[in-house]
Amino acid sequence: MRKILLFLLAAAVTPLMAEEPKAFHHTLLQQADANWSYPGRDYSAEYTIFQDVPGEGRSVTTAALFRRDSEELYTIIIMAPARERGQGYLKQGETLWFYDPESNRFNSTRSRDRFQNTNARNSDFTRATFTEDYEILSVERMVLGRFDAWLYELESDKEGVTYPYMKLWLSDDARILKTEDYSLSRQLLRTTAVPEYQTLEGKSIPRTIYIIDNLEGAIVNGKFVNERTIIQVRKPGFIPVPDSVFSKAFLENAGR
Amino acid sequence: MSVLRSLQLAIRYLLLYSRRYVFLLLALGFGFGVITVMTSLREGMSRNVEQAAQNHYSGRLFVLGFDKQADTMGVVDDDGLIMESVEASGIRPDRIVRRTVSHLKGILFFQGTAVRHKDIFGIDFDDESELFASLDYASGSFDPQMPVDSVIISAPVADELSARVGDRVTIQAPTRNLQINTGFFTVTAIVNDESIFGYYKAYVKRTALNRLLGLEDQSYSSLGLYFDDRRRMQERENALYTELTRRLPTSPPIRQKEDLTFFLSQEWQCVRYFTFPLAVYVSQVADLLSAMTLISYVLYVMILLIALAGALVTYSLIIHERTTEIGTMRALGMHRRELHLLLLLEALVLFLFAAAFGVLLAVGVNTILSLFSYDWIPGFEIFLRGGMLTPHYSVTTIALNVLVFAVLLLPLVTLRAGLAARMLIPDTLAGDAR
Repeated sequence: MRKILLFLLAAAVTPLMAEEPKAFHHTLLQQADANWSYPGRDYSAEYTIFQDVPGEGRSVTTAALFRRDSEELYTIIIMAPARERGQGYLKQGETLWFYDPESNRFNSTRSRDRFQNTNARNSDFTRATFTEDYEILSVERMVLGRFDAWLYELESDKEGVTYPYMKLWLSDDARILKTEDYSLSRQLLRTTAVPEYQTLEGKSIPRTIYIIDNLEGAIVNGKFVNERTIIQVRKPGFIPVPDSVFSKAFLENAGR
Repeated sequence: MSVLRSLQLAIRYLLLYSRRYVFLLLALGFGFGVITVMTSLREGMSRNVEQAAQNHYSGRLFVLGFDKQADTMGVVDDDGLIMESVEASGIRPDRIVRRTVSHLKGILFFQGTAVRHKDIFGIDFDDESELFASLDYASGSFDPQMPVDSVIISAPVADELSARVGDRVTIQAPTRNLQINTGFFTVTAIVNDESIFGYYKAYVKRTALNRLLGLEDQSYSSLGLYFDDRRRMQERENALYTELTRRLPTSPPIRQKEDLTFFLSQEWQCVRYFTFPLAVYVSQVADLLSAMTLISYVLYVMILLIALAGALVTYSLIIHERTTEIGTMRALGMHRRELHLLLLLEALVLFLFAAAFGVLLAVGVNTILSLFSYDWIPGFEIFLRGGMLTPHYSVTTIALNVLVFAVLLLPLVTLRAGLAARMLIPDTLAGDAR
């Protein structure tokens, strides 16, 4: 009888215990989103983007980014190279505009499109939305380099989520260490690594981001070398940004 | 004197004075030959463009569906209602072809190289076996029973990717849910097509592309209707449009490419249907062809004027040299009208010989021109077949050319012959021609 009671007690408690890690991992994922999002305040930084195309050398783009996550706004202005200076991006809610000062025109673009022909996507410059967009398929404890990490397998069937399947490595304090983005057929498309962070007002902000394109590259000296993009984030700040920065007029004036 | 007798005399005089008439024959023949070369090449180019467009777009009249919320992806959700509309319109197409298209969003990857494609077509190869069997393959061959993960790519793309038959390439495209999907495909054939229609396009099986795009296996983007009889296309278009609008959300009528671009830029919910003829797809090329036609007719008129001027001068000279003979004929009792008819029939028979000579000359020149490849001329390949010019000798066009030539030449000749016939006998016998 006692054994039966113990068994029944164990059977009742086990699902509750299983729920606990689930809740923990969901919370950790929410924290990862929060770490990469800055609601309630404006964020600005200078981004230097190095694009390495095997066999073609390196190109460098410098851009200023201004974000207001609470209103789903961001503005990016290209400062270098000279031929691209004045180009810009303006995100207003679901709409993303690209501005070209040469033609003085705004063209609609998409979050999933490449940023300035690099391996970064326009959506990489906005807040993280893992918990909104993905379901957790599995979580596994592992070691990534010198970090203890949680490996999340995430899946999305939401319309508009560019990578329907991804793997996400989070540190114990919910910093994103690495992501792998997959196609719907589970082919690895892109790998992103964030080995360095900087702290600003209690927030961990990436210092360097490496993005490797798993499909594009070239054979150099008999070895396949992937295209890659390195993003360095400098001068981050949570200083209020004038409303006018998040407008087409601002980009037009800056373009001049 | 009967007309037949006059004709016999006219031919005899032509042969008698063949040395005098040979220059006129050559001048008229050359002029007519140049005009025939121009019109036959223009018609050949026009047909090549039309054929290439028909092969590329697969049909002469189209129904396409676009899902605005899927980034304007081409998709037809209501095949039943579309077929009902086709049936109700009474247009009775000779053939119906369904294709799925990933337009401007498909990318082929091979060994690190990416080539964005204008179109990746999902084809029912059994239904289009005749077309694909007729393509010019650089390597590999067409087999309608090819494996479902097969892809046919163009030679320029194969060069760019350094891909060969048997290689596995990755095709990436966004799904209807706007998610990225990829698939592995084996290159089974490489087609020689460097025209603007063929350069950046690839062909896979429709079911394979549907699965890549997250569509049902039987889905498609475009319904192409073929008609062997190309007359009354406008009526068919109107009838189909009327029936479609009764059953499905349809765009306003589309007459040219700009209309299609404009209406596609509008906003709507779910799938909207568009119907238009092949001419809309090739309207920009058609504008170019129209410009070429206009230029060719300007040249046509210039050559005509030169030929006519030369012919008239030469004819006047010949008449002048025959003044005494004309006077003798009049003195022997030939009436003015008979003489006029005789001279006119001479000119007419000469003109017909010249036209025949001109056509033969045109055939010869076109044969020589067709020996050379012209695909090195940028943008010119769409007017060619296999890189070569292919003249088309339309009976209607040749008859029209003859008619135009005749309508302009013969009145002038008639006038000159008439003047000669009305000369006073003493003046003609004295050799005084006006």
